[in-house]
Amino acid sequence: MIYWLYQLLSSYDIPGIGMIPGISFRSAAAIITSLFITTVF
Amino acid sequence: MQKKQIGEVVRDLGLEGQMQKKGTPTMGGIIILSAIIIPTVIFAQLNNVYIILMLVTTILLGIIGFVDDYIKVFLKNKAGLAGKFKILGQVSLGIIVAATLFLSDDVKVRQHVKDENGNDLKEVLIDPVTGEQTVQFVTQDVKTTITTIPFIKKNEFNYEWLVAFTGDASAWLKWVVYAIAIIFIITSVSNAANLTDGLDGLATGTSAISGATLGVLAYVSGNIIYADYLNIMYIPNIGELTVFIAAFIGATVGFLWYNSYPAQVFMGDTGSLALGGILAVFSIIIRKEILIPLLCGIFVIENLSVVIQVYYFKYTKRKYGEGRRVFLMSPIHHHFQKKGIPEAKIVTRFWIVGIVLAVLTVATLKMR
Repeated sequence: MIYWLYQLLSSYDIPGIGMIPGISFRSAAAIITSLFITTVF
Repeated sequence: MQKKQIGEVVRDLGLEGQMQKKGTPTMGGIIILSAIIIPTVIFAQLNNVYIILMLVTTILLGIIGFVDDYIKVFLKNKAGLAGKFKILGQVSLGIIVAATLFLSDDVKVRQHVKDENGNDLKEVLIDPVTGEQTVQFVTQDVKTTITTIPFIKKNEFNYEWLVAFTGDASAWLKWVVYAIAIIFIITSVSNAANLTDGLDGLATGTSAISGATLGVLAYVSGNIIYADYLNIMYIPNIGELTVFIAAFIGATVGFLWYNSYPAQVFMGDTGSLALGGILAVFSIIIRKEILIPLLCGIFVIENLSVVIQVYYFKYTKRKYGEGRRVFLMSPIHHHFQKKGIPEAKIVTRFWIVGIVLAVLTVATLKMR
């Protein structure tokens, strides 16, 4: 989903948006989100 | 889960501290699966065939496990889902995975092009600006049944070699052999994870360790620079699986927070069947399935202990008229429990073995 959002917004000059396609960034975000889901719920 | 009385049903096997687990919330696997699926849907490229395959695996095995848990917990039937239905689901998944790897145009491996003598072809590239010359191998993306095998030169094994004697028929027969291997691996690893889920945090921790290792392997296999440096198979678009496995690691580690001894929640079959299946399919996709006996050594030992116990019991009953046992109890973690070793110590030691096996697995990238 975030990748589609990136493709949609990539023409705009939004700071930090260039990180989204990077696998490392998305992997880190995935790990944090899954940790959040398991520990909170 | 406690409010809804989704509590574990415990059989009295005479194990220390076992009855205290009665009523502990189970079906926590739903949380694990949600924590895998939601971040993957948010952060991964959903048009990537490997991501789709992993999501299908997670959901399909999750449903099978959920039905099994539902029958046990809500219908109060300790037998759960009949074994044949579990196997049917796992075999169906194996067929889906094999068919996808066979039919999808996106599933390819990059290989060196060879000349008529079997040597790797090279080409010279000239930088138009500096005039600097670089020599590189000529490559092409091919659909193949090649996989990684440790400790031998080139680290490659082709399922086609098993049917090479059939001549021309080997072109399609190799896919049949590959499909059978996939089904066998998924079924055995998925059930092995289920067997391992007998002590607090054992299956969760072991899966997290295996998952992290597979994550490293997926990352280097999907990165052309690392794949070239390590001289391993480069699989285009496989790097995206790092996002999936990151969610997997986060989910298992997060769940371990509550599942560690003394467990506040159990994953149930909803979690254990899916965890094993995910590890199996993931390793198949990244072409590292032959490393499973090493990487998932704990699962293999647990599975083997049950097989040895059952067959030895049957054999001695037939031969001597009374069934004898190799282990005090199987799976093997219960054997150690019967010997009086505390549960937390057994689990920690199994994790240590798991970490050692994971390190050895990564080391196979360079050992040949």
